[in-house]
Amino acid sequence: MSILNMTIKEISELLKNRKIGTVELVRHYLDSIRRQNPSLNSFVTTCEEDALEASEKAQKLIDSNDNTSLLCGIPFGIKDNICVRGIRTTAGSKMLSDFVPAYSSTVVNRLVEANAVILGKLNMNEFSMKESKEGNIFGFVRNPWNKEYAEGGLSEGTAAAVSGDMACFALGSDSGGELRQAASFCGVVGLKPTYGLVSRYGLISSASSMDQIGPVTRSVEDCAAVMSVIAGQDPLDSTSVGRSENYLKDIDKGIKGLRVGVPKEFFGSEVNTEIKESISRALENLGQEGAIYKEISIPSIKYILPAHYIISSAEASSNLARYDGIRFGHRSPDARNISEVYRFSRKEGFGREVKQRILTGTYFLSSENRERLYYKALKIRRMIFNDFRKAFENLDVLVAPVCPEVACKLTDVSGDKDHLLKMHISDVYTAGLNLTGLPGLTVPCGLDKNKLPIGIQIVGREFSEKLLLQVGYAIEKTVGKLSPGEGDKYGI
Amino acid sequence: MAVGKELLLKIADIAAISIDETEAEDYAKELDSVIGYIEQKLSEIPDDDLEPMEHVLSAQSFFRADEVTNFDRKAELLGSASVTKNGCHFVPSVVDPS
Repeated sequence: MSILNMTIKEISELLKNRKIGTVELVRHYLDSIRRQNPSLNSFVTTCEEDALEASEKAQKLIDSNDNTSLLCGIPFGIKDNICVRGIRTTAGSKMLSDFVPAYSSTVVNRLVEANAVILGKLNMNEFSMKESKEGNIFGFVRNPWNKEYAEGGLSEGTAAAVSGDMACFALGSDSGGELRQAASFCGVVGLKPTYGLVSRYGLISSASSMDQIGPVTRSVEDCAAVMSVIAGQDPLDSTSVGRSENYLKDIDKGIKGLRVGVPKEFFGSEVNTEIKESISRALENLGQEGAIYKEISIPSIKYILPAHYIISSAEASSNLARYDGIRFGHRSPDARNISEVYRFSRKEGFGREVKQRILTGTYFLSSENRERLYYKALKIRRMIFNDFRKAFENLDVLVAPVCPEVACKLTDVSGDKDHLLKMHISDVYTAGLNLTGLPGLTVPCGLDKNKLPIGIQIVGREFSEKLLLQVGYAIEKTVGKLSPGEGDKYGI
Repeated sequence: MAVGKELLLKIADIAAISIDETEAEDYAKELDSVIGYIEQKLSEIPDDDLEPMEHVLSAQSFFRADEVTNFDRKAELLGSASVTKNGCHFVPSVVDPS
């Protein structure tokens, strides 16, 4: 095994036993980024000097104190819509191509306080909106399992960085499922926490009632370790909730008596047979561990897509109104008056899909359509929320696919309008949790015939992350950690 | 209702995005197909008396103490703007001078 694909727990032990130093560790990761990133396109900015400086500080702490945090000296990457003071943060948009924040997000501050080491910023679709025609300004991310493949048309650098041995863990964001989908396509663990559990201060908003920051990691235990640091109330985010726990404690408690619901609407004919089989095997394994599972029905699942599309477009049109070309972001050099500053800067700064979403959202929020479409979507949101809540009256968790298909070939992504529609349709498995605020954990549960990863999604009640991680741990134990194994070639 | 070029240009004006006529046709076509799908789906659901759900958090918002703090990073903040003058954001005249 290489240091480049070990878990946080394993590396932390090596660091504490002086088998490796933090500076040496970070150098291995920076080398790996130099080697792999040109083909994977996961990192868009690296911070070598800062990373080496931070790792020296971490080493001093380890040398002087045996009780350092589990994350001390651990190198990680950050999605490029999470602000870090002094480091360019673009949200994948030309609009912010030279934006350098004057402050850091709370999640980053917490990880830096735990002495984790920032390696750099990770690629993403423009403002997290799926894009088929142009990709984002940095181009598509390739799947470390097979570089001919995308992450299902997404450009989420988070999962590719972790799976491709370029970061020990990553911070991503999830507004409709992008964090979980990318994690599933790349065979790593991803968690969308309950809305409010992790502070959004310093996250560039897209759909602010649904956006949530979460970890992407190599193991369920690593996910618990990162969550234990980033979760909790933040005075700078009024929607944050003080419900954090030690998520590592009792993670191996077992799942005897766990009541699992399998919503039949999530397992229709559009879901790939291999994915269904893989999830069935995972369920059987859970059964052997003492869980009881049964099929259930949540009829409103079929309305997730229209409700999510309306609300996310409406919120994006409102949130992206702040890009006026004045205080930050692109300003058109051709503007002659204040109106042209707004109109030209926004025309030039935003990509095709983002403009389409802003226009769509503006349409939904116009006085003629607000009641008929936007408020109707908010009512559907309530209906979906009530249906999920009802399902949890007699159940502890639900399971679902993360996506109906495994990752697709890059050649199938670019330029295909129908593909974009297909990508939005596949959000039905993930976006319900953004609408309802519920947490969802994706864990690898197998490989398909082309050796591409398949993920299973475990959904829980509000603030049930601890239970989700216990269930994820039980699944991981039977499946084992999946790894494309490339890191072994460069082992130390 | 079909979204035509004229309506699209009106929406673009509200959203403060400059769009030319050819682009407008393209955007209108896509918006039209999205709305077609959405209206059909929404029409399946009866208009009942459900309370619209703008936010998932039923709990009260969390307030912090109302204390004056100083964010002493003016140069860093201004550094994000494309055009500044004398330590201020610089914009063209807002009022038409003529």
